[in-house]
Amino acid sequence: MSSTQYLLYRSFTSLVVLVGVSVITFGLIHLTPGDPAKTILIQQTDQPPTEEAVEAFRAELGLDRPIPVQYADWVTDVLQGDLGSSYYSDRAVTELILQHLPATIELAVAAMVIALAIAIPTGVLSAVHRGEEIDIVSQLGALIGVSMPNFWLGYLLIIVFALYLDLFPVAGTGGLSHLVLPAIALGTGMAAIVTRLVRTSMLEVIDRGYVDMARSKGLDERIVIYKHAFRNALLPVITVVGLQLGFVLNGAVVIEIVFQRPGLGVLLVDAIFARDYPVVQGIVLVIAVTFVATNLAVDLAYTRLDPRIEIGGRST
Amino acid sequence: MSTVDEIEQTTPWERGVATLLTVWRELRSNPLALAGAIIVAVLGVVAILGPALISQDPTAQQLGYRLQSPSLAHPFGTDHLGRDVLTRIVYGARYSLGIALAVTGIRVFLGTVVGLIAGYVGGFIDEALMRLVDIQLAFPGLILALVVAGVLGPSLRNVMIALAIVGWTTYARVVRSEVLSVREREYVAAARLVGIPTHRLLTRHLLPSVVNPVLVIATLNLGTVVLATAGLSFIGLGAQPPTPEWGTMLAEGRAYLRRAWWIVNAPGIAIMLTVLGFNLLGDGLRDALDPTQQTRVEEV
Amino acid sequence: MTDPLLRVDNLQTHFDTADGVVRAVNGTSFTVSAGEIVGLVGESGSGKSVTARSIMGLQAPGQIVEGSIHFDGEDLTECSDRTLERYRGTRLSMLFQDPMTTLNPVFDVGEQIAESLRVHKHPKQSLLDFSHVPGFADRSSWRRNRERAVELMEQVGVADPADRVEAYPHELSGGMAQRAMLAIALAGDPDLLIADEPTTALDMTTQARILEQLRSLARETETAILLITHNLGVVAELCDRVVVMYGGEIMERGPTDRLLHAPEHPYTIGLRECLLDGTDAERLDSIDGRVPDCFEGGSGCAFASRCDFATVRCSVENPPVVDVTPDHEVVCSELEVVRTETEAAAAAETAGADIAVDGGTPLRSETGPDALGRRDAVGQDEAARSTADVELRSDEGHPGTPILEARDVTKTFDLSNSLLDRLFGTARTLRAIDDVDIAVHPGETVGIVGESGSGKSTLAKVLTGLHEPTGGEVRFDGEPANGLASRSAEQLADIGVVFQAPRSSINPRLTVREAIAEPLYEQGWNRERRDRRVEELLDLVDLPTAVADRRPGQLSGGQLQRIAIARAIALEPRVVVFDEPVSALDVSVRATLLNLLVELQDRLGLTYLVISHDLDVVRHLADRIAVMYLGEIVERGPANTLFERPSHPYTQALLDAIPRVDENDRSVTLAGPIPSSAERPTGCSFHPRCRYAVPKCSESVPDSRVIGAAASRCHLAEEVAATNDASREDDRTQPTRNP
Repeated sequence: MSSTQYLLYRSFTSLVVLVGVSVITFGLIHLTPGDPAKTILIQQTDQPPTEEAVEAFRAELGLDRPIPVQYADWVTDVLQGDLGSSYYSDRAVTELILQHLPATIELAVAAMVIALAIAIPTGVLSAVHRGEEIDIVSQLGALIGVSMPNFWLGYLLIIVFALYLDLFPVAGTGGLSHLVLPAIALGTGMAAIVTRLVRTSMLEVIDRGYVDMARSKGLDERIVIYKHAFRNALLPVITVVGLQLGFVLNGAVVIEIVFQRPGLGVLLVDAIFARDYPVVQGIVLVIAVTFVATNLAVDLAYTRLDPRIEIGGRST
Repeated sequence: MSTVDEIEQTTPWERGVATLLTVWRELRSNPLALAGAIIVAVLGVVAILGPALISQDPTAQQLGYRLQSPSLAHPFGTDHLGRDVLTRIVYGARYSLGIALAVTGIRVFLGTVVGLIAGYVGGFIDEALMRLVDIQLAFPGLILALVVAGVLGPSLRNVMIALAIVGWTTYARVVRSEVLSVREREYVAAARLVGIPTHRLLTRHLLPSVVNPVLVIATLNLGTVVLATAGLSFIGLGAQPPTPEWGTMLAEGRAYLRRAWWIVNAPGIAIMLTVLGFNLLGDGLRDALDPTQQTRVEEV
Repeated sequence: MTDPLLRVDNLQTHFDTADGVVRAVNGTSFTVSAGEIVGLVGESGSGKSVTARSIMGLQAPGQIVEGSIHFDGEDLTECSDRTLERYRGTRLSMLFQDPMTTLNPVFDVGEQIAESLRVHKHPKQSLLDFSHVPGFADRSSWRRNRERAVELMEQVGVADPADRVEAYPHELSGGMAQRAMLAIALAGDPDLLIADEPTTALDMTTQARILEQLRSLARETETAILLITHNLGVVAELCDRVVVMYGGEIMERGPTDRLLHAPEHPYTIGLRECLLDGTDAERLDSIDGRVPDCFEGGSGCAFASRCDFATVRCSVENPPVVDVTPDHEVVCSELEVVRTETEAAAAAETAGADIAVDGGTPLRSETGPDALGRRDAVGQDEAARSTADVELRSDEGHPGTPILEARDVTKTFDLSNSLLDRLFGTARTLRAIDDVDIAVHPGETVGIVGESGSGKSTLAKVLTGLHEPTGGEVRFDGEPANGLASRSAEQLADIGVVFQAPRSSINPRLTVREAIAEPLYEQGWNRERRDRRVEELLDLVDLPTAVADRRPGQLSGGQLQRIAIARAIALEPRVVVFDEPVSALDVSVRATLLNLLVELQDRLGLTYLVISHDLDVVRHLADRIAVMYLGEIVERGPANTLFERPSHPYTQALLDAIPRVDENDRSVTLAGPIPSSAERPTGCSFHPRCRYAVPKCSESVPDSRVIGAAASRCHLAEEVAATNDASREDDRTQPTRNP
């Protein structure tokens, strides 16, 4: 099949996934034990509401109609770019998201850059010098990095660099200085994961025939490693780094809370506690769609990077 | 088939013992894995016996002893309500390990069943199950768990439910691909040629080859679950104060970072050590049990 | 000309492993001069590959602990890494065994050749340049190199080089990929080319063409070639001198002619006798025991443990180097004894052979129609035509019901692997076997030969029931028996199957006892009976009973294959199907295993169906043979007829492609690779590669024509048979003329 057809095919499966995603996102609020309208009212007014008030509120939210109708309406709105508005502030969900998004993107990108800058050279060196001191040290470092809860690492950084050394602000946003500690807290954990991955996939390829072949041609060891071996080791790394976007978002939520950065994570957690369901649904949907799109992009990049992949043959 | 004696060839029990022996031999020669096993064992002992040995109540407040730095009486200091941090850490081990075991158990069960069905039955059912996995994977795990736990209402039980339903997909995929590859082996063809019924093909040839990778992933997964549980509790969705849960303790210590660094660092170190233990052990198990790794060692 | 180009002297390369030091190469010495082709021969584990890699400096993780490698006067073991790197690009090249794993999958072929050219011309290398980073890469030079790459590919015989230069390795066939590797090796314009099993992974017909290229390389450019191989036929074909290795040590070295025709060392003699070179001996000579997994080193001859002539002295003191002639050396302590005994044996054999010639009945010709066939070919065009439209049943000459039979069996596979193919309607099907008839009668052995992709394994799977036929019918003892599901327990028990790769055909988690007993268990045998039977079976396949409690990981390939055979015959089947039973094994192991198969057949009265790409194996075992090409049977008949007088050009080409120890020149007749069954040529599917092809061949599908005892699907079958008759007759008259 041609690559256009492959693109169509992947778009098709992504569409199937997106439909599933929308159903789950929509269905989430129906997990609420009891009557959502009542629960929300209690939370808003802090006292048991009257039966009429609940009725009225339910009608206002459209919760009195059959669920399929509610879903159809919701999807129709979403497709028109309308994610509804917050139960509390009456502000449009899209507006809220757009307002909080930049802080999260900044953090995610900075963390990703730090992670890759540490992980790739460390992982490659570790694999090339397998079993030597440099490998043992970096492996131990990576293991500790993987095992460290990033919110605790965040606190450690705050204690040392903000409170004692007073080099960076403790929390909040604004300027590069506010980004440094959160990005390190988030990036280190990722760096550890990616280092281990790079090492494993380098070890996987480093005794392959083509590496010796490259040596037998008289290539410089550096070219043998970074061109012939690493290029092949990169393929699984790319898949996982694509999936790491999810890890970044997972971590971003927690790190944003630690450093009190007004990003998407803080918005989501606040909305969850407030049972502000339109906001929760909106954020989850945006994250899931971004995630699906990234995976699609990684998949398509993969077919360009690895000529072996028979297009279409890589269905799960 | 009444003539067939029921004790068939080697029993799963014997095979289990053989696996354990392999693991033990491997662990002895692998110091890192041994360290992991020791950490995990110590934690297990602490979780089971610790509370019985410590007479203090983890929730007992002694406001006169607030924010005491580590001392002989309070090796890890006391928190903002005068509670002994060490006692709380010991009690917290129960929560962390218990939840990790329960959640991982459910994940393994769900994932293995789905993976076996998808891999063995194939066709439309496979396609449908794998799309389900894709849909699930479209949500970053912790965020989905966060939302599910949040909607269900903050509690440890709901955190467990949330973590169990977001994490089974790895097992499903691994088991499925293992089944697919084993199914193509010639020894499975040879077994089919002598008319082995499907259920015995599954139990004798497919399931055993699935056990090792699942065991390795599950061990590493225990660490991940400990981290996730702590994370959700830290956010405020899991254990609620005054429960001595490590994530909750970290969250409570936030206001005292400058005055009492030990409140956040004690549970931080506890979490790290636990996860490290599982990771070391998991890596060791992979070296011991993963056949591809093993052949590579033999080839050298 | 005083010094040879390469002089390896007392080379020792050792590996440090958890179980101690493995002396992979343990004191090897030999030389290679410019323009010379030297063969380094040995079974797996003999240290030949490690020797080659040591010369290239690629011995890691092994270490050269002693000895020297002088290349053009410089000692490669002493020089710096940089010098070695420099030599590799410009003066030394290596051709590896499996092109599919040694070409880098993520770069196109042109890039990989261009790299070699760049290294050769431009010794200073930078990562940025080689990564084609804009601004840092010399783009015009790379462009020129790619152009030169096209020329090189043309030179090594790649068709459409301008297109192929853009191809990625996975898009090439094995033969094409090996040629691309050759182009890479030649790009460095080496003085010495080391070829490590360059044709082992290839089909017979492709192998012949690659060897041709190597020969012309040595002749035309004075390139020295060190050829590592386990195949004595290849050695005979190509090499000027041979070095025989065993256990990291040299056993014998000398001119090819002498080593192949007058070997002196017991190991060389053994290797030579293991060969199936088209002789009709029922029982092959072989070497006892097996190659040990690792050699202890120390003093004594490495081969002593397997040598028939070994004395106490052999395992204690290092054997002396005996100069038989100035250029022929044998490393053996008991050479005198070996000489007298082999001479005696040879004398006895000649006597025996004389009797056979006198009797005038070569073995196996009792199937008779051979002589008849020859007469047919000369004048019976008429008769052939009259039966041309009748599909010749394969059981010609066999009355009674065949035990296993395929009737008009077709098997197609759905190549569309995704929903999308169905969505876009781009579904393709592959006709793996097409309208095939074959019958196996009780007590006989039927062989099926063909190159990879010919559909022979699919046919085996259909016959055994692992695949359900798409069309036609499989019959067992006259009863329909298509898929496994439709076979009764008795039918299942009556067919045993042995697969190609012993490692994957026995579950590594089970003990040998469990693996062999699996079929017994399914038939409801109790434990005691099972254990007794397992012991009997192990005894039948010549394995000690103690093996029963081992696991596959602890056994060698040959032992595992015996266990697979034991499992296949556990239920006393009537038919055993062998899919490439010996192709994964070393020559000496192969010989003993073939002997075992013959012996079991005699003792148990088994019927065999043997599938192999190796014509010699099939010929050795089979009474009747079917030749498959692109899913069709193109020729079939008695084994002797097919080998002596093939009437299909494909059969002839396959025969011609076998490198023989005793024949020196032969013509390469097959062009191009085997096409995919998904894109079958029109008319006769073989015509694009056939040297006899006439226009008719591309237009109409040939019917089966009876040529004597054989049947051939070729428009020109009579002519082909007549040609072969004439040429083989010439061959034969020479040696038999002496009395």
